[in-house]
Amino acid sequence: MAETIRLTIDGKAVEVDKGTSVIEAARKAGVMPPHYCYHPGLTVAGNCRMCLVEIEKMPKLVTSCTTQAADGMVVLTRSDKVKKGVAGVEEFLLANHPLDCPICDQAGECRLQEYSFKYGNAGSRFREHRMNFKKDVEVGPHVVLDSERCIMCTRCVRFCDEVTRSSELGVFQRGLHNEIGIFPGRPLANDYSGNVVDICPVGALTLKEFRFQKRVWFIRDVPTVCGGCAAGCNVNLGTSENRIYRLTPRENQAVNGWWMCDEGRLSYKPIAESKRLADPESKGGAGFEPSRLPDAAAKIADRLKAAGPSGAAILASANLTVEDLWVVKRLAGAIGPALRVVVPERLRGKDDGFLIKADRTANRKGAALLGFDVDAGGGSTRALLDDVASGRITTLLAIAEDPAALPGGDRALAVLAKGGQLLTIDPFLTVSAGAAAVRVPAAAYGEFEGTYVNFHGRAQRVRRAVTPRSSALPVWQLVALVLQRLGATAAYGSAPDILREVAGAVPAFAGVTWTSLGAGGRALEEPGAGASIAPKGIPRGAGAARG
Amino acid sequence: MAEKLLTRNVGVPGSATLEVYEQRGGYQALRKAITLPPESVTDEVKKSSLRGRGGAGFPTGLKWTFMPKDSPKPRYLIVNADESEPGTFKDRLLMEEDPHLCLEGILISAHAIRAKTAFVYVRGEFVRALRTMQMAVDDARKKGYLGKNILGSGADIDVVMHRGAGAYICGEETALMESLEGKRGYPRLKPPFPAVAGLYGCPTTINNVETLANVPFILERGADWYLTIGREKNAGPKLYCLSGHLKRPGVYEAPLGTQLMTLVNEMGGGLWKDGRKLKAIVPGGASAPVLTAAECADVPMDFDSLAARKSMLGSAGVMVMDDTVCMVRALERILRFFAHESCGQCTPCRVGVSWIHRIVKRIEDGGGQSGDCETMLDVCDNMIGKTICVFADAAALPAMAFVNKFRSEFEDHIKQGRCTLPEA
Repeated sequence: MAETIRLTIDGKAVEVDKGTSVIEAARKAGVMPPHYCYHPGLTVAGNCRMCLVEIEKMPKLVTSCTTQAADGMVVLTRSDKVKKGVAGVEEFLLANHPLDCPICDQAGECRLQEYSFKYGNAGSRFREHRMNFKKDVEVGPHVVLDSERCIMCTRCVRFCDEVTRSSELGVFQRGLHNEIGIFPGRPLANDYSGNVVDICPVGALTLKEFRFQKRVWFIRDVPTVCGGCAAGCNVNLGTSENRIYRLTPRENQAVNGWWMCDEGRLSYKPIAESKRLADPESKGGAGFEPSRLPDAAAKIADRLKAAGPSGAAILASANLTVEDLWVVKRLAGAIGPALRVVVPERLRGKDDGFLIKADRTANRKGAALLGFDVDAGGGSTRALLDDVASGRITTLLAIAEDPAALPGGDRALAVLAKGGQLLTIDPFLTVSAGAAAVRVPAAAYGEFEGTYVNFHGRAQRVRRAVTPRSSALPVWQLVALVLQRLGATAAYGSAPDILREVAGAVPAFAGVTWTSLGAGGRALEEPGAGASIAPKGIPRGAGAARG
Repeated sequence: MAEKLLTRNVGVPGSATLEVYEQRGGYQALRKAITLPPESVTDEVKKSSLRGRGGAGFPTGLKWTFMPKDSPKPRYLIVNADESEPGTFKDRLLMEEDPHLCLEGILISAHAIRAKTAFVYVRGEFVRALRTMQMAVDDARKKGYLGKNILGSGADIDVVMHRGAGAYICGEETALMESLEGKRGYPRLKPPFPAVAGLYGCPTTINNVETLANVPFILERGADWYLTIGREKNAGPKLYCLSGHLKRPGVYEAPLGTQLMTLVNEMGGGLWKDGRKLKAIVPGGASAPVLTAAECADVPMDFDSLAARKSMLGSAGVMVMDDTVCMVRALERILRFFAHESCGQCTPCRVGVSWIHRIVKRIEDGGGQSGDCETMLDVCDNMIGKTICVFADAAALPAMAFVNKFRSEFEDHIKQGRCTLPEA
């Protein structure tokens, strides 16, 4: 138990643990000083000098990030002396700044702008020539550097040194000529490079995929969870005019700290770029014909029923939400207890010991908690597809899962095309959807809401940020229609309704409600001793191989 | 004329060789000190009131006592030989002319703080000093003055010479440590101070070359004798670097507290050309605020007297300017140095120093505008005391002194758009 100390900041009494910095104590007191270089996830550099405060009995102003809070300390963050010092630092930072806000992507979320407005002077006394640096330099596949806008806070350098431990970035030259840069032949190409853009307090580092796409003040951030892998990093989905423009990490100390990987960050792009199915369709004599949704649902129900529990099977994606999977589970039960339902694995790469999990599905743990066969080792999927290929299973419902992309899927698909029934509910026009007898468009990531359970059992809310342009609906809603055709009551109004039912039926979810998950989610089980939570970075020694 | 100590071997043929140094009584202090317990060596130095000659004048013995008593880590002595302050060239003389005196001081001091390794960080441009020192280290090792089991005492001390790569900031003690560790020469945040976590995170003491050259005399003749030289709290001999408009510029040894004008007129031989008048003197290297001729009348050259006159003894680089010197131009030259040497780690220094340089440059070039002096003084105020190390202060304080003390010259420059002094 850490020792508690008491201090006063701007007249407010605040209690913090011994060892806390003055800036963190000030945050607690609600008077966080302005700062550029300080970031709670990185070591303290103390180089921007913006967080100056006055401390009683200290002759000079001190930086609050480098000073430890002490018992009885009296701190002033807005005394006249501090105001002048801070305005002076802001003036220094703007002296050589190009002031190209109208064409700068950071405008609107720029610390220089914010602090200039809040703490700066109205004009500049700087009458000299401004420094010129290289602009528009691609330092890596995703990151572009504009050195003229850089304020040398070195957050990006420290991120690459301390979090990814790959040290691609460094400071070059000296004094006013100081410049951030990479070493020859070693681009900023680690798996987390996009984070340097997030932590860059100014417009010096921008993301290639986002720059010049949208002014940030048009962007609406929807707090949600990344669906790229089992880590469940908390993110904001930045949308405008019903389009996703970017994913940025959202702080959650129990999951991802402040960071996310590049793969997750760009995971919205395939969704926007993949071909979508516009309306439900079924195969007739002359190819696919449009079908009314109730009719398509009825066909799916009828064909599953006709094949029966021994002749039908379901392949459901582990990217479905808990709510989706719960309704799928009910559907399986309505056909017959013997019906096989498999949630296939999607392994790719290796766990990097930090955020990226080998399992690239978002909700395998949730599926397991609901009692699904989550196919550990990949045997169940293979066996199921082999049974399809051998004709034992004649009707296969694939939900957001493309059998063609699974091992053994080709043969299974060929057999189904000849005499069986392939039914698909999927956001995308997959290869399998091309061979389906009935295909129904589902909502894609960003278009539905529900619950994901990450790899160490934390239930978190996935939220809807955009509405699908086609008639696609969330999977739970589509499956509920199929269920109703089979005579079951499935009158769900929303995902939270389903979650309530899950909480009542599945012990692991006992007491879980949509609201209780909050912004940061809730651990369904005590994390095991070995479970890593908010790791500080890629483990030492496991960093990117040096070229 | 007081007895010469620090420079007693300077000018003696072969002064840099071990033979001559030994003939002239060298290494006797080491023989005595190496058998004493480290604490008594420290106590003697503490008693002598020796103050650091690098510029800050911090009591050396007291600094040594900051080394933790019971740290399991190795302990280091760093010798700051990165002498780069404009107007300063005393450590260079010591290393080139009397390397064994430096080395003897280093060995005794390392023994006092129980350091087994001493690193000498030599300014990169001092090639000759580095070679002479290296030769001295090699010779001393052969004779058993350093290395394992020094003079049979059981003490092991090694001395490692390191050549800097040419950056003024690496004379700042923590930037020096970073540089020595192979990193970019950026000053560190303090605390922790070097005695707690210095080189490689280990307890470290860092002293100037001249400081350590005093130590053998203190050990040989005792602190009481040492205290008779100089003034109260400012004891001992000092090397003064006289430069500028003097008949005989050079390094001179005189007790601390010697009158500035005594140095200028008696040692330096007075102003270099007849008919010239004294205009100003920078008493302690480029970062010491300038004194006008009127202020120079009664200035005992020691740490406290200069601090009382809002300047500093610094490295005792006395730069004398006669009445042909344009103060705008002089300040421009000084600030050009500081703008070039700012490491750029923290904002006020990185931007501020080059900003004030560019203002003065513009005034000097005839582009001065009304309000420039006020802006410059306020920019200086925004720099002072707001940075990681004292570099910004070292540039801003002399700049303020120049502008404040020679304000009319700056204003004339701005109004006329040119220098108003007659061509020299």
